[in-house]
Amino acid sequence: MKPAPGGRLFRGLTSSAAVAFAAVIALLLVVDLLYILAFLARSSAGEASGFWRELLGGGDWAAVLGGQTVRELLLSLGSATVTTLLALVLAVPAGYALSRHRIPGKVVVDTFVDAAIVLPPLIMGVSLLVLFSALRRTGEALGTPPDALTGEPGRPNFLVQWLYDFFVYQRPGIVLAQFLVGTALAIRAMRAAFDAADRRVEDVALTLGCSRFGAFWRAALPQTWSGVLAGGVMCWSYSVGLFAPVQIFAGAIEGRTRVLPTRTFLEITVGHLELALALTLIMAGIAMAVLICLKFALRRPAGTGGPVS
Amino acid sequence: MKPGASGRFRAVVLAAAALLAAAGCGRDEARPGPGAPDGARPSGAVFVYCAAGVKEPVEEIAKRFTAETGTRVEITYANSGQLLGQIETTRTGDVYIPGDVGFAEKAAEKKLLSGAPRPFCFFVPAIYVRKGNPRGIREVADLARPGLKLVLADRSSAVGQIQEKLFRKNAVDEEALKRNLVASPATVTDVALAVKLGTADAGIIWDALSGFAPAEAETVAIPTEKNVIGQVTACALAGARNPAGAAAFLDYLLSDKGRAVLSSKHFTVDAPR
Repeated sequence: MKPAPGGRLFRGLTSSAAVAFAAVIALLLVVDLLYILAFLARSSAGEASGFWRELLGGGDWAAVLGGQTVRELLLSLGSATVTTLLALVLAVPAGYALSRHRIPGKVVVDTFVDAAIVLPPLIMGVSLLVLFSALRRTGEALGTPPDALTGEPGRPNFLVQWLYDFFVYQRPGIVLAQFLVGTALAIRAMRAAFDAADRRVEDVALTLGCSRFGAFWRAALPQTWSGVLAGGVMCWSYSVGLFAPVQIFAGAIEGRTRVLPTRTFLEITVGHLELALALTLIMAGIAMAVLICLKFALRRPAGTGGPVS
Repeated sequence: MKPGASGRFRAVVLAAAALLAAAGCGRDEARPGPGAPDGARPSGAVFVYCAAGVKEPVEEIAKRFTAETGTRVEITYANSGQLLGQIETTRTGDVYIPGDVGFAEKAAEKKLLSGAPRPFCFFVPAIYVRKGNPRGIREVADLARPGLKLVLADRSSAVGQIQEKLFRKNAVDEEALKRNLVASPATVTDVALAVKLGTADAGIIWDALSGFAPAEAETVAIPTEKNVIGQVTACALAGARNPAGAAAFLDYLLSDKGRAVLSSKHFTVDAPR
């Protein structure tokens, strides 16, 4: 086929938009690396070995793998994975409903989903904390009041207390903090995917005798594979790097709720800028490797646009 | 869906499960033993809110406390103001160590404390200059000398707050200071770094940082009567679920053992005279 006039120019312009943006991000990571190298070059042997010890946690592989950094990294990646799976479970039906159904006040529902993304992350954490403190007070009101005669202290409602203790300053709190925004992002992606999907395929499936659920599962959902992937990637990437709401709602407790981004924040507040950057580079590198593997594993045949059928 | 896609999907789910398992292993490692109670629940562990600025000594002291008593210490770090917000909303936790006594006073006003704040250590402002003091800086007023390259932490930091009082106390011409200013970084460590690297001739730091770069820089002490001393206090919280553990940890923190750790990290443990 003869190329259309201006085809090369068009291709060049659009591609350079993508490449230029990626280059800026790559540049950011490279200057971070240079900063660390400059630090190592100007620091004494003692300082440098202290840096490596803080960064990796020890001299041999066992110490590295059992060290703080690896534990925090695993906690970040693991919590983000749990969050993403939970988010997709909610986002697939929610995205479908927002795309296909007529829900009264749909604009309002849709806008509240956006609100989750608009809220500053720190405020998300504070709001969660405020919500749970209100919950705790409710629990106290529902429970046994203190006994004035025996002086026995009151006991809060068991269920509410359990819920509070389950999330606040605990690992599930990390997932909850990530989940609220991560799900909003996934819903956005799923809605766009269902909007782009061909509705007729589903109608045909219905006329061929599929149940409503069957048509969704076998005709609608497979078309939105790229949406699931995009939503999952967005949710996961966001969750891996998130720290502000995690730090305030789940705390920054070493060995329990301190994720790698929280650690980098703490290292900056005590002035270890180079350490924070090095930790970030490790995390970014591993997260990018995971994303690349994921994209290869789930890739579409090259050059096909639109949903996979 | 392409026939291969579901197989790949299964592989990805398996990979995700493996990752979860790995994270789960980390969880088991981090817990001291099966069935050990978690921090905020009524248990033997002490829950501490600690300002990031005193993270290093508190972390070290907590480690020693756990080794000696077997009582676990769970510490969450942030800036003092955020910690106060967390205490106020959750009413959980046993000990609060803010970076400045002002936060302890605020907590006391809000009736969040049990007992009076106890002095932990002092933040003593000092002048940080290049090694050998080539510009001959003797006192705070010298920082306004024309031509000096000055680095001062931003107002949002604790040292930034206290140095304003320091300049007022020493009646330094603030306009002249501003003319000398070459940088105003966000943290006191960056001030020390600027002097160390020679980007600036002088800056104001805490004495705790005096050993920051012994080869390139040194401190000029400010006489106590001309200085403004910051104080770090440790407080027991009113909502403590483990008041006994809190008291034991506070005692340890303020004991000679705690003081030794502070001194080894260049913190000032006795009120400067």
